[in-house]
Amino acid sequence: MISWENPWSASTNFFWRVRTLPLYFIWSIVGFISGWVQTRQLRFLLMGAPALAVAILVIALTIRSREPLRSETIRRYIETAQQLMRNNQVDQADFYLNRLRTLEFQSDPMLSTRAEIAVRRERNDLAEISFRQMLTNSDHTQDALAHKQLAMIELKKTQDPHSQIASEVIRHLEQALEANPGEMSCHQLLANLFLTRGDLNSVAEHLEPLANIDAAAQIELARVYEKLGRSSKKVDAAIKAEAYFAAVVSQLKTPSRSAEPPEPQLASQLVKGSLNWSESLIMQNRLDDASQVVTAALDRVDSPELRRRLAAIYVRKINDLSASDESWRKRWELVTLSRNYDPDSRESLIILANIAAHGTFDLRPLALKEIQPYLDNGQAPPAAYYLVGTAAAETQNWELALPLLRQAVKLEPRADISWNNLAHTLSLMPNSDLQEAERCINEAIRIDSTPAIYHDTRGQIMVKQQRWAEAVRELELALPNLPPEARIHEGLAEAYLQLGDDDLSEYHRTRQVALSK
Amino acid sequence: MRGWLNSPAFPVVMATIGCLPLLIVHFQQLWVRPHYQYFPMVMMAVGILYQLRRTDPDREAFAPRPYLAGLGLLAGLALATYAVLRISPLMCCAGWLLAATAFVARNPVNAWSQWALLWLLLRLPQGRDLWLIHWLQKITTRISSGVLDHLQIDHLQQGNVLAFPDRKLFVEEACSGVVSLFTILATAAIFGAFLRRSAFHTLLLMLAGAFWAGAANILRVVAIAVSIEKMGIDLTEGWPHTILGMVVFSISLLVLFSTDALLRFIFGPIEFDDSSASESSHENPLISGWNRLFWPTHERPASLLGDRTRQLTTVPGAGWRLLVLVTSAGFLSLGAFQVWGGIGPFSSTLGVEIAIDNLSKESLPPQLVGWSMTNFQRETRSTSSEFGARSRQWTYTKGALSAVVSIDYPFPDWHDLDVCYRGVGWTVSGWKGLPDESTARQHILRNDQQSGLLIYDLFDQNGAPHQPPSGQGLHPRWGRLLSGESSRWTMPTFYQVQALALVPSLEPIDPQSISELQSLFVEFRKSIREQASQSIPKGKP
Repeated sequence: MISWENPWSASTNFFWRVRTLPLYFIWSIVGFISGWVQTRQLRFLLMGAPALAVAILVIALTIRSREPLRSETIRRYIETAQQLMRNNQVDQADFYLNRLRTLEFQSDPMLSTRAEIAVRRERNDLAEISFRQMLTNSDHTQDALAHKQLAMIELKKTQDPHSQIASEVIRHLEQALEANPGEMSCHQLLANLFLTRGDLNSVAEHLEPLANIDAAAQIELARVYEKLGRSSKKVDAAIKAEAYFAAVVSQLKTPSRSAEPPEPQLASQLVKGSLNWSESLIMQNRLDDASQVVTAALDRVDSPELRRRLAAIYVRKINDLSASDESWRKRWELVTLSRNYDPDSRESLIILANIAAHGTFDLRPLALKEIQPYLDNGQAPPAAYYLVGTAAAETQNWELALPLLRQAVKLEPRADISWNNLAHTLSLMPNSDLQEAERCINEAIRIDSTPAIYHDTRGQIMVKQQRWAEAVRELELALPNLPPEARIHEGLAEAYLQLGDDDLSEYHRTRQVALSK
Repeated sequence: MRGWLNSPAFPVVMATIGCLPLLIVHFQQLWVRPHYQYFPMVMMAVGILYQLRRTDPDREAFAPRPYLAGLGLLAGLALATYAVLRISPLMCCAGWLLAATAFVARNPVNAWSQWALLWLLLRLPQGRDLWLIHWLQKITTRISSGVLDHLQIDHLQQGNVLAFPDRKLFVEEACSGVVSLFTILATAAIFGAFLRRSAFHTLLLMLAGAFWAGAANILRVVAIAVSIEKMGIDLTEGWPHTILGMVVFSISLLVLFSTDALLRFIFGPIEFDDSSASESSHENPLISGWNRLFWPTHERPASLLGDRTRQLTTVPGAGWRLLVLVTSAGFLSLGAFQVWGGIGPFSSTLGVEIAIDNLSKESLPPQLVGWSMTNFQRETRSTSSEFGARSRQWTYTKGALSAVVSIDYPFPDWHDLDVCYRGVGWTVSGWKGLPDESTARQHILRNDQQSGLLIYDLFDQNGAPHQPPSGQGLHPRWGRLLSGESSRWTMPTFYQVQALALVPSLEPIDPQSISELQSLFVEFRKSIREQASQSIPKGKP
């Protein structure tokens, strides 16, 4: 033990002690340190070293545990999660991503994988949060994907193409295209969306780049151009579509129908390809080529779609014919051909009705015989009832005309012309029902008040009901807009006479006589 | 008689008799808390130490301090009286420990270290023990997670749960048993007492024990994770789990031993002998202060013990005997009062747990305020589980909403269920009461995928809501006992009723659904309270 002289031991005098206080202080410190060092026992240090080492280790671990995850660990977790997603192990993938949830910086790959998990679990709300985070973080590598997926999520929220949400969808898709112009699926989605909105110009705008890459889209583009009335562009697109689908169909090696039927998938491809190919030819007005393509396909696969397409081509040929006697015969031949492939098609039945109503006299009974069963069992289209009914009324075959016209307005209550013809028939037939006739013509005028013929019909009914003032008003409305006709003047002459206006009555009587000659 | 009254043990025996009913309740309450189950070890250590010290050669080195003994006796009686009036087993134990001062201060054997050890029998009041455990679990989980990251073990931390790709490890359970914070603290204290370290040294050792408890839990969690993920060995249950606990505990003891050596190296006394050569050391105030703190009395040279031996021959006088008589009468009266009140072993039999155990699917109607029952299940957990050792759960649905109503039990005291949900990774809002202004608490829950609503309430075996008996001098139970209105006192056992509804959305549950859930909870609570309290004997037996 080291021993130094205590400065205070020299005297107990207070002033002495105050004066020597610093010395005493140093003496105490030095004595303490000296005593402490000299009395330490090394064996205790050796025995305590393990505790010291472990304590340092624990403290170091504690400090390190506060450090953020290393980028290497983060990458490993993300890659593992993505691999698990590819293996459809969603829960496992979620586990790995949850570990990264507390990270301050959420990268796009991390968020997109998390969003994918949410989508697989049908949790679009969570997916939406992740995609929105992708747009707000500083990593913009997958913004196009985020915009596209947000658009898909928003799209599921609405059926209304004009809603605010639909506009938001469009904004996202356009921003996705801005970030990645080569994202063709965005063009496709936008084209579909604009199509539901009826914005055909925008549809064409998005189908054009798509069609440049995918020729299959040319047919859709041609359809849009057709609706837009851009004939030359339609034909251009149709030519490209024709080349594409001709190649597709020629690559499909299928035997003829007489041999073994093709595999369902192959048959489906053949049908689809032939339909598109024939459509592209129809758009070029090459109806014969189109019918050849469909006929050739029908030889390999018996498909209702192909049959309907061939029937439609024949109908289209009929619609291109003029109204001469010869063309009525041609119509008859073509409609017969069309009905070989699709006997119940609406278009062919209307053509049959048209022939029965307006065709040559030799063809009318043939056509009427064909369409009669459809008229009887109510399967004919409203236009067929109208045509045959009107023709029957013109020949004063009231018994045939009346039920057909009644059926026409029943099937198509918005057909104003059918209401007019029914009213006309009801007013002219023996035992005319003028009240019902008035109700029918009122319905026709309610639907569309512009045709002068409807006012003429109403005026004639008013004459028959001796409601002279109303008759004058309706007939005067019809008169300037109809070709000169004795019947109108006759009605006006009678009405004015009854109303006491002899001059006007005399005028219309004179006009009636003149026109009757 | 005079010999008895002069004996240092006599007043403590009287105090023990007087406090015994509440002491028994106190030890029962300690035993139902797994982190205090070390207490028999403390009592055993105290007994052994006392026997060892009795044969110690320096046993005569300590003088009796009768004034301190008297003061302790009076303070003990006062505290015990207050504890009996408030029916507070914890305070009664503290009172008894104060009364034990009378024995220690008058006994020539140095038993202060044993007396200090006995303070480990007290639990921390007002849930501070659970708060400490939660805090340790939080730290343990975070550090364990960091270690596992460095070991490249894929895992996920959710509150106090470490999830692995194929299982979850509740750190709550990993931290229980012999490696619990309180067990290691007690071990450090016993260690210090056995090795006759100074009080300051022992306190430092206990502080280091808290640190090592955390480290041991980290080691255990990491060991479990590594063994599962790297070796495929499951150490989470059964005998492997027990052995792991023992190994970790043994390591903790070794490190504690090493820490003691380190503390001895750093804080060892600056030893000197009585020779004149070391006279200056006697005069150095820093050295003498240091030695006063760190030099155990039995190791000090006789010259440093000063006046400690001066009063060796003090003989108790009549005043002391009077004091002993009065306090003994006081303690015995307290004991009689408790026996009359039916406290401790004289309490009525508990039937509530049996009643709850018997609850089944049919205990609740298939239709409850418009909700339809779809499922029922029983759940048994570890006794250390914060969600309660046992549960009965009924699932009810209404439209798209599904709710689990359950009864969880037993709980020895108030139980913050929201803390448990935080522990497993939920974000929990502050609580709101129900419109019926009952004691129920309602919280909004949320995590990164779901949101939910939690309503819970706590009841005692009589179906009475849990309310701490604060603000009154006399426990309300005494009032009822004195007026003959109530049955005997029973040790409080609480059960918890809760309703939990989760929805797969981040949007909070709408007000209409909350209202329907509240109705369900209120009806469920009413039904359960009626069924659980049916088994409790009414009136005084």
